[in-house]
Amino acid sequence: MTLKRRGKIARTLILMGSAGPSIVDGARGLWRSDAGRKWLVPLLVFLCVTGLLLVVAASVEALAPFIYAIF
Amino acid sequence: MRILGISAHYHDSAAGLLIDGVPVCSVEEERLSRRKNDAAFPLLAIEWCLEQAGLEPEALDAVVFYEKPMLKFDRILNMALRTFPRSWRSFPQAMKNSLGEKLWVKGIIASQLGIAGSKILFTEHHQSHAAAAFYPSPFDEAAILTADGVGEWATLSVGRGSKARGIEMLRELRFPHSLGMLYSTFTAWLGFPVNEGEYKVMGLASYGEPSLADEVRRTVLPAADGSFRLDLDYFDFHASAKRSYSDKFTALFGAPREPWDPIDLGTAEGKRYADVAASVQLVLEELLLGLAQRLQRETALKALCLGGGVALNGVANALLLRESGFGQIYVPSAPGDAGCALGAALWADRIHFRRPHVPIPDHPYWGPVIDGKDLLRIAAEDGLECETLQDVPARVADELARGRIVGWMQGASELGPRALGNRSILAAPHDAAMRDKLNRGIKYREEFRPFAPAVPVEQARRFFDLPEGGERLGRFMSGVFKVRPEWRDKLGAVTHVDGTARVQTVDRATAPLFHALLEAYGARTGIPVLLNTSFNLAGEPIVNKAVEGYSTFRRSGIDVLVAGTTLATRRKGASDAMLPREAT
Repeated sequence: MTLKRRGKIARTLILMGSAGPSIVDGARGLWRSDAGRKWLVPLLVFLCVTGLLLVVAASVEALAPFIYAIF
Repeated sequence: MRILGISAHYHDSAAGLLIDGVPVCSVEEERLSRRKNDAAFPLLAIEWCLEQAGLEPEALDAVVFYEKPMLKFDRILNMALRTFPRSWRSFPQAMKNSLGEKLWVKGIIASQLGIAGSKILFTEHHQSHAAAAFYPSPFDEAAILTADGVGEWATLSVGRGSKARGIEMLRELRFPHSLGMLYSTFTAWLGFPVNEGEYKVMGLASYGEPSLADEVRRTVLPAADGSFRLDLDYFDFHASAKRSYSDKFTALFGAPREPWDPIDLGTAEGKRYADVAASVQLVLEELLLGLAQRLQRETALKALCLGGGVALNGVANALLLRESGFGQIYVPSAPGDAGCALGAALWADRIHFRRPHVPIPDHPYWGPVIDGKDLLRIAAEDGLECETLQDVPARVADELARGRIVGWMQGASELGPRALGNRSILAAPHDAAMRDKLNRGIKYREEFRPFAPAVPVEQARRFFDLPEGGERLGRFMSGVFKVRPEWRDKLGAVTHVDGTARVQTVDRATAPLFHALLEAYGARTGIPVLLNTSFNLAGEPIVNKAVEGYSTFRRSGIDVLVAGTTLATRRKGASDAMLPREAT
């Protein structure tokens, strides 16, 4: 048996679809932490979104010039 | 219920499948991809597991990842900020490393396997270790101690497990205070690769004196609760991507060894390296013993399950068995991250889904099965004639008794870093010259590294000084014990410089063919002990299929290759002189 190989775009769309809940989970975890780290939430979200954009740029080459232009 | 466990993205990625609470199969990605310590998302291992069970991914009830990537990212981000400005150089590297695939595991699993996100679960790293250590153990109740470099935040955790009530984690030690990182820092200072060279430090330690133990203790501060903290002035691993130790560390222990410098134990420099290795080994043992003794007093339990990479330290494990107060210690065959694939699946099954415990077969053979016919075909294509054996143990024992080195492939491959008799290079254990021959001609590794003996469990005490519970600890080669003085000369190839050996006690029920081979060899030489080392060359993963065994056989000094009932012999044979009968 071989796993069904999906195209890059399909994989990236699925990955992006699950990224939102992952980021929310991470932010919620930080917000609830009792070590006074709530102030890290905006930084965490910013870095996660940046990382996601870079993953998309690496996966879907056609979008790369537009994404890299942001930086 | 069908649960797939996955570990990936750090080192030794793996997959394991659990059906109705019982492991069906598990394999490290490296065995299939042929890249040593492969950390990539284990697609090949997942495919193989599903194929073994005849399942499509959609038929899985859950897929469990062995740690929580977002919590790990939280730790990396926190440490980078906490150690600023020291971390400013490593921060971009850390972000680049973390923000790619590693953070989006849920999406990767969903996209690669085509399953709904709701089926994807995450356990904490040390929960996976704890489940991998406790549930396959033979104990109904046991204390649990897991220790490694770092998971998300935890580096060491203690708890108690009950097959009826589940696992309760009691306490954890958090990064950067870490036993694994302490040992790894010295591994790096000694010029060995981190996460791979720790066992070299353990081997080297036997050649030294712990004369620098007080200096090592200066880097570790005891804590009021019985645990410890690292004095971070001596370390840099939490703030740097390139170096584990600080300038203060090198001021204390001297200049680090360059990886390419040979270790000559006859020189003052070589002796210093060995002394440092012996010192950090002693301090690690002291710390682990203190933790285990406290855990024993707290839980009043008789058995301990050890997990995490630190549990690969067989010298420390044997000390815990002798002195911690626990009468029995269990270490799984893969206590490191590879074992966490099954551990995560077990945690999900027993804790998340609250399913009752079902007994787990007590063996390490969860990987792909060898087919002797493949060797027959490959050798024929290469113009080498093979024999099909009627009595495999008898014939192979004859070859071993003639002093030949045998590549031995039988049944399913082992899960974990040890070859436990199904993917092994076997040889006569009597003469230290055999050790040197293997080191120089086949394994191409440092002279200070010992080889392990395998012995039928019922005869182990005749040759080795085993404490109570030693037979059990030795089943997966997890303990280092003294060779009885009267046998050291006759077991020269497997007796380390300090008179110890990492014994594998072979149980007839677990490994019947290997047990029969040991008995057949004993009938010929009087000593039912064989040298057993992993079937691979330096820098390569342990062989998996017949083709890899054959390739290794052709590129090394192995004399005889056996796969199933097929035997291939090197064209230019080794000496035919039978070894003298050693004992009666």
